[in-house]
Amino acid sequence: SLLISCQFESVWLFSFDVNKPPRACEDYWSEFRHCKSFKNWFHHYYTYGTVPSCQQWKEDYHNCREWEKHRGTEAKEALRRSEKIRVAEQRNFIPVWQLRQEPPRDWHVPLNQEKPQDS
Amino acid sequence: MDQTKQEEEYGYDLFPERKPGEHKKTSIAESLFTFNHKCQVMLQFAVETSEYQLFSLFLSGCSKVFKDRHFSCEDCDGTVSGGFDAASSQIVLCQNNIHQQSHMNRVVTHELIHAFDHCRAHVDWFNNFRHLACSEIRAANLSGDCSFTNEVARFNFGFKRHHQECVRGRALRSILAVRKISRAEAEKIVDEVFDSCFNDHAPFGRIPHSKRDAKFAYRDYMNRDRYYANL
Repeated sequence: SLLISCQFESVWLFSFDVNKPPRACEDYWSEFRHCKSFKNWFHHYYTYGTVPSCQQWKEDYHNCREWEKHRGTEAKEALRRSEKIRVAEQRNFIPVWQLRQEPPRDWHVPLNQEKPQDS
Repeated sequence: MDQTKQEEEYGYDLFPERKPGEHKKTSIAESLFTFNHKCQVMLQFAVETSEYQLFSLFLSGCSKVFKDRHFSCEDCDGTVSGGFDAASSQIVLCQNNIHQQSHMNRVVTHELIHAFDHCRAHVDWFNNFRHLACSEIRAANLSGDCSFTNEVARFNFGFKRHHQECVRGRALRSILAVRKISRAEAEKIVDEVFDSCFNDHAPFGRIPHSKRDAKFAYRDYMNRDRYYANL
């Protein structure tokens, strides 16, 4: 019965998680506000030599609200497109190394202690 | 390989308390007469209070980083602040060179990025300079080493795009400190991998410049299941 309740829980969580905007709508708004802040402008210019572009967060926020309220497919698709572009931007480089399938085997291996002195 | 040669080739001579393959426990006397205790206290504070660190801790794929196993406060040579020893899976903190909490926070973040890279990728620390350079670029980029205020404190008064210059410069310095190669060679390697590694923002998804950046990056991480399920 424990197994059944675990399965039930995971199904419930999964159905709770899908068919929603990728982020909570307030998250889009807070990202927009953060993007527009002076601090962010400063850091962006300091890093990239250009001013940050924040409009997309605002659009995403409105599409998010639209999706939540009216379940419109246009808003949903627009939002998904925007997020997919964000994901692609974060992956826009050729890695220098090969990723691991498993963590290094000796990560948790205890360190050798010095043998205690003979008294 | 002759032990002394190995020590010099891999930068172990900067960390005289650390011989490759050996581990030494700090004696009470050492604890009293060195900065060891102060280092331990600052480390504890850094690990407990900064979101950056918490972030890297559970994202590393190594699933857990234990303060007592994976961190070590030691005396180091010169002005080096810390290091990551892949051979023992430890982050070394230079107790004689770290005297402020903010510096400790930064060093811990920097070294955790190395640990993170070690945990998620096959990084050949000892033989592949490109791998070493890449991790140094990422660590300088993402740890706050190159923040505007830190650079000003070093009397480096740059603004437009200065962050990248700083990252390049510090990565170069880090490589030259631990490996015996020429400056020209090191510069060439940094140039080769810079674009790739500067744009690799894992695990943050952005370059964290402020507490809010870190908070949002943390929020994105906690939300990742819902995020990818709905793309």
